[in-house]
Amino acid sequence: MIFSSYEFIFLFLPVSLFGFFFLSRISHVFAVGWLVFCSMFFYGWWDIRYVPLFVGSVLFNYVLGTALGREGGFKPRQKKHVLTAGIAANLLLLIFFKYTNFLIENVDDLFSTNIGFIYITLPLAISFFTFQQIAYLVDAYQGKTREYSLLHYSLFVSFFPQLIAGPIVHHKEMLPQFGLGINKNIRRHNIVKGMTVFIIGFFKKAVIADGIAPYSNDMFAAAQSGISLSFFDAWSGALAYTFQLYFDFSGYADMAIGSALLFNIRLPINFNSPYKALSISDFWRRWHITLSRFLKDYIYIPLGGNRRGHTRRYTNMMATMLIGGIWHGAGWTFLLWGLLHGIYLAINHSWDAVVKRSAWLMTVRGLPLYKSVAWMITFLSVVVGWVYFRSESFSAANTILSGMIGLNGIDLPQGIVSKIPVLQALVLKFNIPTTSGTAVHFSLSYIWIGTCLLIALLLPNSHEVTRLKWINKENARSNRGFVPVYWAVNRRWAVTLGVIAALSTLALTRAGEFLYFQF
Amino acid sequence: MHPTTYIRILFYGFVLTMAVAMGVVYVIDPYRIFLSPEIKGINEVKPRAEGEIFFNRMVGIKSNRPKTLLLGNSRVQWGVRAGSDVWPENLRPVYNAAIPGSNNQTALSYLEYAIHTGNITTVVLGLDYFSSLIKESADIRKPVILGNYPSILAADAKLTTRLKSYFLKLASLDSLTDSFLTIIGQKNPYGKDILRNGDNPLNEYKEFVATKGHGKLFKDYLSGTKPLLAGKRRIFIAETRSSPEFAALKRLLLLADRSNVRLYLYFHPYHVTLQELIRSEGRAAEYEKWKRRIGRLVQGYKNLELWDFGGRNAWTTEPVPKAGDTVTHMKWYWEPGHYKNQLGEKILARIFGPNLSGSGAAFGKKIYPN
Repeated sequence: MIFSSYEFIFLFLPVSLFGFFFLSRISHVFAVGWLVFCSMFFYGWWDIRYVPLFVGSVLFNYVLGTALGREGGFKPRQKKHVLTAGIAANLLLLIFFKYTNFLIENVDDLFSTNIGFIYITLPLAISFFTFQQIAYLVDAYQGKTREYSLLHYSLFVSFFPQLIAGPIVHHKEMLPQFGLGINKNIRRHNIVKGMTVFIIGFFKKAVIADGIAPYSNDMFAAAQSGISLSFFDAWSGALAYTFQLYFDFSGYADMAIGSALLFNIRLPINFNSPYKALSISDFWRRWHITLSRFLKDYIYIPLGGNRRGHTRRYTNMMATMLIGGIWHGAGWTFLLWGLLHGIYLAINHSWDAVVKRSAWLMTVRGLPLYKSVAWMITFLSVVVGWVYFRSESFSAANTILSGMIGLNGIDLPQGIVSKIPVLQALVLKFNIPTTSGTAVHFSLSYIWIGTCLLIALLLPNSHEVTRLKWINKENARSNRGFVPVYWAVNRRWAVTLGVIAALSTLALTRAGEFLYFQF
Repeated sequence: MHPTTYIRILFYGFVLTMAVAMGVVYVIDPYRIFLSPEIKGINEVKPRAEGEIFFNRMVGIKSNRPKTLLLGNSRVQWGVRAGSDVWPENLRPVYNAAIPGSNNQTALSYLEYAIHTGNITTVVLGLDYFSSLIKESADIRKPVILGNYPSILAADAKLTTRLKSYFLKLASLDSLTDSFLTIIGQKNPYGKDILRNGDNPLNEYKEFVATKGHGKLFKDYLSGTKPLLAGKRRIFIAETRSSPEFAALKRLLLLADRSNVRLYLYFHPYHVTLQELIRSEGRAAEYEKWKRRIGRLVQGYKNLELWDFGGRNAWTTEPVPKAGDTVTHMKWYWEPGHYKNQLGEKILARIFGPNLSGSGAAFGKKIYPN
């Protein structure tokens, strides 16, 4: 069951919501138990075989975390061993399910062996709940956790809005909310705001992301099958994926935040207009924020962060991004994507150091031209990274990238050229080849890309529109769009959202799974 | 505003938008599946019907109640007209149920459906070497039927399955978008269309020929087909010497025989440049083997004819205009793999017309029965 499905929107969500508030009147434990049950049902909808594995993982980490957090339980040295064993067990589970075949494939290639593939189905959300629980164990070890009840802990890990593709929540921001008596009652303002955020996310996913998806899928599939892509086709594929991924994943995050809010639970925001970023480090403060937070707190800082000199800082940065890359999937392309971003960040920080030493550059960096160039470089770097992220192989990624730099030639569909006199003249003057490809497909792909770019750059993002109040300071950097659009509980917004919800529902017939499910 | 009022208005907005959208789709009927009234200048031309061709064909077979069914891939859809004057009176009405990119397995599904729902007496099926090329990993037990409607094509499909399929087309943003594109596309002389009898007038090719010429179309087609022939696809799975395509054809022959449906099978008249490509890619022997295998499959069937329109003759060797020549229009071909319906008329005349001798018999040869 995915958020953008008839069964989730019209059946599962209303029933679980009704059950929660009904049981809240009887007993808080019943209500939380109901939510845990609903979340397990939600998880088991895909493949019931993995529910025991998931429950086992929750119980194992709960027992271990409680033991680690208990004062006077273990001696310091024992505690460290227990933590190491706990992290290792979580990672082994993740490695077994996610990376076994990748490892076998590489061993086979390297040593010319023939171990062969093992048929393993990846349990849904394993990357998410593993990271979430490792963070819990580390915090328990450091004495940062309280003694939580098993029911509350189970809900922290399994709460269905964030279970499958994040946001990667932290126990500190979730568990205290489960105990609040005030959350037992229906809060109309939360219902209204939750519905609004959910509908905006629904529209982003079902209409925009799934609408632009065919244009990226076609090009990446063509590149994978060895077809060389010309300049405009390669760019349309890369840019279409750039926007598909953003609207898909941020749409999911909005739907998660919105549906959680219906239950009076606040999830952290996960996106903050990443394509408005003016540098790569800025991008990572805006893209998949909760993953960046995890990587920073539990990998980069424990490795030493920036406290041990420049070389060590860059090494730590690179290692963190490589782990971030491989976390997304078992493949060299993901690793290369992580490496690329590690390099980008290193360059970014080095440039920042240069700028800070120059009074002239410090002045110039405030100018619109500087900002435009910075935006362009950042955006293009991100797009290049996504090409590796999306491609199934290096050769497919390289095919697209070589097309993007014009190595496979530049051509235009005849259908477009024949309709636009200026293009006709340019085609003749520069002897640009034309293809029999349909003008409709070509035009629609660029209309989609242009629209998405305008939305991503000019409009405020969904949490700015709805003024979600719990945005922490780190994420509150202002990036209001050029077109101020702010939600209010009034007739105009009610009608607009009703129309948007209907259009999104109409788009359900083509809705695909969320891209981040595979990670 | 009180939150409850807000939610109520939102709900009304939702329901009203859904109702209007579904109403627009139903009235415009962009895929011709609801059989709504067709109004000139509004929804008579169906430029988006090709996007739901499987559903369109299914409804078309049921509503046209044809005696004769045309089956095959784009070569049949574009090259042979259900609306041709050549069809003998006793075989009419004819419906063109050919589907671009489809294969024998799809043809079998539609024949099953047509026999179940109508009064089919005759089938003309174009046999294509290229769509018979299968992956080594193909599973003979699992037919690959293209499209989204195999479940409602089944003779025993439940009413709920059928209703769900219609509902999903009615309550769909794609259908709504296609409805608007249908309205916009009514006056485009080069716009796509699928006619009521299933024929495709191929207006978009007319535009390309007018602007870039046949030479460009030939070049693009040959360069696009070369990787398929250079690839690993074969007519058989090497180990078993079998193919889901031959298996489907065998079932189709049995079904037609059992149902007293007269079958006319024919090998397409590929342009000589395509025949040359088959030869230069080392596929000539396999092509001939494919034909012989079909020749053996049809043996013993009484209500069947097999024709071959391949080879070199005055039609398949039609000269191709030079690249950039937009003035010369070919008489028989769009490009090497797709013949115009003028040649399709010749095919029909040869199959259904009087027995010819001499130069008239140079095009097409009846292989079975001899």
